Amino acid sequence: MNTIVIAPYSNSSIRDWPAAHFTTLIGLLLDGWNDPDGLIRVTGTAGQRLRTNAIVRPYPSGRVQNDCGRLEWVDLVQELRNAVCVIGNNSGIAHLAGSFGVPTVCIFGGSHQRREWRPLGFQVTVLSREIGCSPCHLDHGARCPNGLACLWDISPEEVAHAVLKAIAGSTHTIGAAAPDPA
Amino acid sequence: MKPNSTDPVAKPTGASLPGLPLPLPLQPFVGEYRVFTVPPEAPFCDDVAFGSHCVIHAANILQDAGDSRGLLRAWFALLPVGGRLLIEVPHTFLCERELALPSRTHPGRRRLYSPAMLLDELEEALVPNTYRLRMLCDHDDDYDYASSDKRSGQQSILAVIERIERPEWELDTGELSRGVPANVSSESGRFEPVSFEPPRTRHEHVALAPRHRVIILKLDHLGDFIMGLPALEKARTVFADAEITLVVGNWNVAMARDLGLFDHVIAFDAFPRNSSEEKVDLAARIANFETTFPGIYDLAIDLRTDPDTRVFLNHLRAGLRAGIGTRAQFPFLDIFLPIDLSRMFEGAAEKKLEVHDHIALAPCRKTHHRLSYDARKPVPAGQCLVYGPYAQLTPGDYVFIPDIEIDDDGDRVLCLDIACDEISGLRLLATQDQKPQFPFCVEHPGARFEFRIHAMTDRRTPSFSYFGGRLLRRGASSVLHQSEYLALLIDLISMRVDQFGVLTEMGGSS
Repeated sequence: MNTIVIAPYSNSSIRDWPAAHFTTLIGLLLDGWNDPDGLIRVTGTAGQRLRTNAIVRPYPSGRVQNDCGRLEWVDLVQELRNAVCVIGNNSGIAHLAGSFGVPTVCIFGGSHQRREWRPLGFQVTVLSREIGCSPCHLDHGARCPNGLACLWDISPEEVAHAVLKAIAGSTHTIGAAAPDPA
Repeated sequence: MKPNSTDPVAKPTGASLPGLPLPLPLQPFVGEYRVFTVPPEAPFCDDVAFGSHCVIHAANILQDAGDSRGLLRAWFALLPVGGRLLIEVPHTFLCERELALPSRTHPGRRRLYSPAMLLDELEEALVPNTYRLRMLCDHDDDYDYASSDKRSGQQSILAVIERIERPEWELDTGELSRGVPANVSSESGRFEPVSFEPPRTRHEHVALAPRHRVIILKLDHLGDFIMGLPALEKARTVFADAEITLVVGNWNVAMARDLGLFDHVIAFDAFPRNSSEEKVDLAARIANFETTFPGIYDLAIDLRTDPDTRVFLNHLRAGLRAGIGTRAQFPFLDIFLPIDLSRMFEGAAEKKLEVHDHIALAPCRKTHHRLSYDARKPVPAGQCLVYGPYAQLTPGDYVFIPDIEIDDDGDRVLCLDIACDEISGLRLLATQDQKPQFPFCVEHPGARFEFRIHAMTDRRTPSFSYFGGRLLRRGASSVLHQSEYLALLIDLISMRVDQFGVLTEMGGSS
C-alpha cells in the first residue's frame, strides 16, 4: 500500500504549519491522489496525539491514520523510506526524508532562512513565503506579531499541488537508499 | 443533560430494527426513549435524519468496519443534544483472546478492542467537548474464566457517549489563535506585511546543474593569480570533463597557458596591470567584455575575492554564476560564498571615555569636562578620589591613556589604577612628566572597565585635573588566506553542482 507520511510538528510552534491547513491538505490529497487505496499517516509523539485527532477526524480511518505515539523510531524511519511522499515543516523528519531521497515537501516558515536550513535532497520541494518580516529568528509562535503569516499564507492548495507533483515526478525507488545524483 | 421531550426524536424517521437485547449495564441510559439499533447491513444509516434518535445502540459493528472513525461520527450525528450512543464491541482479551491481528478465530476482523483502544477511537472521531463519556466498562457477566470455551458468558466492552451542547470557548490546543494582529486590515481581515516584493509562495526544489561549459574569470594581478593556483587546479579536478575557459589579464596569459589545465585561455584586461597607470572606464570594459564573450556557459565563476570584477558575471550568458560575496551585494549570483568583505578586517578602534561618566568623591570638583582636586583640601590616605566609567568592553587588547594634569603644589606623583569587573589590574604612578598608559586584555564579553585615581598613602596628594581618557582597542583580523577563500569557493561550487544541487524556483502563486 502506498503511503504519504505527514509530520505536522517541529520542536517550535514558530515553524509549524497550522493544523487546520493540514486538515484541508489531507482532504485535497484524498481527492487528488491517483491511488484510491493510498494511506495517509500522520506522525508525531504520543503527546501530540490529541492535537492530531483534530487533523484526521474528518476523514475515513481506513485512509487517514493518526500514528502519533504508535511508531517506534526504527519503524518511523522505515515508514519514511517507504513513503511515496513525506510532508513536513522545517523539522527533523523533513531532513531525514530528504536524506533518504524520498519525495519530500517541506513547508518552510519564515523564522529561519531556507537557504541555510532547508532539507537537502534532490527529491525535496521547499515551499516558503516571500514576506518582508522574514527571517525573524523568533523561537516561539506566540511571539510573532504578524500572526504567523509566513505559514498561514502558504495555502493547502499550493502544498497539495506540490505533493502531487512530487509524487508524479518521483524517481525514488520505495525503500531504497538515497540516489547518487552523479 | 436530558433530551428535550418535545424533540421529534421520539418518532424516528429512519429505519429501525427490532431492538437487540440490551446489555444490562446499558439499560439505565435508555430511560423512556425508544432505542434505535444500528443495522449491520447499513451501518452508516445514510437515510436517517441528523439528531433524530435519543438513544442509539451500535452492537458488534465497529470491529469489522473499514472506517470506524466515520461510523462513530455518523452515529453521533444522529443524536440530539442529550442523546446517547450505546456502543458494544467484542473484548479482545475475552472474545478473540488475541493481542494482534490477523485474528485466528475471526478471519476478516479489522481491529481488536481493549477499553483503551475504544476510547482512543472515540477521542479521535468526536470533537472534544461535544460529548461526555458516561460509561466505559468491561462486560463479563457469566464469563467463565476457568473454561477454554470462549463462548461462555458476556465478553464485550460497553461505552456510553452523551451528546452535549458545545461550549463557546475553545480548547487551548497550543496553537496560535489567528486573531487580528496589529497590522491586519480590519476590513479585509488580511495580513498586510511589510514586504520587499509582493507576498507570494515560493516553490523551490534542487536540481543538478550541467557544467559542460565552464568559464572562470581570474582577472586580477600576478600575485593574485599565483595565490589562485590551488583553486584553479581544484577546478580542473572538480570539472574534469568540462570544457573550461580561463579569462585572465594579458600579463598572466603565458603562465595560465603553461599550466596546461584549461581548454582555452583568453586575455581580458578588466583593469590595468598597474592600477596607477590609468583610470578604469568600467562601462567601456563591460561593453568590450560582452563582445569578447558572446558564448553560452553552464557555469561562470569569478575567482577573485575583491568585489570589483563580480559585475562581469552579470554580463555573461551563463546558467549559474558563482563568486565571493553576499546575495545582497550581488543578487545575480546563484552560488555565493557569503563573505562580507567589508567586515573581514576588524580595525583598530578608539573611544573617548568622558569625564561625565566618572564619579568624583569630595573634595574633588566636577564640571562637564573636568574633574579636579585641590591639594589644600586634605583627604584620607589611599582614598579613591575618582572612579568609573564602567564601560562594557568586548574581548580584545586595549590601552587606556588617561588625560591628567598634575600641578606643582605637591610631590607631583599620583597613584592610578585600572580594574576590569572590579578586579584590580595595573597600578601606576603618574608624574607631571610621565603620562601613564594602561595596557590590558579583556577576555570576556561585557567586562566592565574602570579607571581610578587614589590619594597617596606615603606623601601629600598633589592637585590634579582629569579630563577623561582615550581607550584604544588593537585591531584584529579574522581572515583566511586568499588561496583559501578561492579554494573554498570552488569546493562550495562543487558541493552545489554535484552533491547538494542548486535551489531553483519552479514558480509559485501569489
